[in-house]
Amino acid sequence: MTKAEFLSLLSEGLSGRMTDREINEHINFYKEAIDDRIEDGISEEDAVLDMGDIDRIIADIAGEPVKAKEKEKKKKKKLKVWETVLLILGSPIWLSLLLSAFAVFIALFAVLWSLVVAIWAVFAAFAGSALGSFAAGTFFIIEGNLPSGLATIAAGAVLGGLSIFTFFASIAFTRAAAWISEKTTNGILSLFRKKEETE
Amino acid sequence: MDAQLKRGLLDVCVLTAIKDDESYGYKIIKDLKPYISLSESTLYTILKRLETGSMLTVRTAEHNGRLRKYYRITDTGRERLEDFKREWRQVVSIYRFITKEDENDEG
Repeated sequence: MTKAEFLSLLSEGLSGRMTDREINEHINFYKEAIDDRIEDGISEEDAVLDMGDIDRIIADIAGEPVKAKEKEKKKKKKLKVWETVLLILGSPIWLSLLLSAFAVFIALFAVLWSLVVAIWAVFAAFAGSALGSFAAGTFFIIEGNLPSGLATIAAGAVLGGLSIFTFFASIAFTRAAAWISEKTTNGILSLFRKKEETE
Repeated sequence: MDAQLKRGLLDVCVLTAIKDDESYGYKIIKDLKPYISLSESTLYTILKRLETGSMLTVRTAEHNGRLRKYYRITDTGRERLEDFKREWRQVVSIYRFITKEDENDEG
């Protein structure tokens, strides 16, 4: 290989991977190295051979790992352009679908939490009735109406028991609803987070 | 030689080659040849690194109708050489310790 051929291949190999100034610096460095050897009495061909394998030189200078990363980045960039075009074109479709899905999720959340409110309402009803029965029963007894009084207090006790049961059921149900809400929200958010990472 | 070790030694080898007088690429490689082999691309990296670290300066001068770069050591470069010599006195004493143990085993 001649000096001119070597330098030309080197220039081509480095082209696009660094600035022109940097490429010229490398070309001049190797040009000087070859010229010094020729001046020392070495033939042009041997001087060029002394430089080593040109692909290896290019890899050492430009760095292969970086090249691989650059190619990946370029690939990702290209995809993004296509993705953006498709996104814009398809926006009437996917946007309305997304909004519908969002509305469905909101509705489901509303249903879930309405149930929670309903159970607490039942608890409140039982608790209120229990207290009311105790009060009424006491009133009857004071009035002298023992049978009615006892019956009402007994009813109050039953309602009290039910209210206690409903209280724990409400707590459990609220916790379950909160867990479902958290998991679903995280799940949806993580879909978007993953997209961001791959991009 | 272990690649990591060689890399550490090459910087100081190049500095030693330009310690007494400025030199140029091909001459540096020729002067170091009896001790350590060095490719042109490796030399380029070393020279760049030393220049960035202010351990040498570069000047371009005309030589036989073409341009040639000359590299000259700086005070920082000389300090690096002194540091290296200091570090390696310790390495040598450890080496003596290791090989002395081997001699004892054989004896």
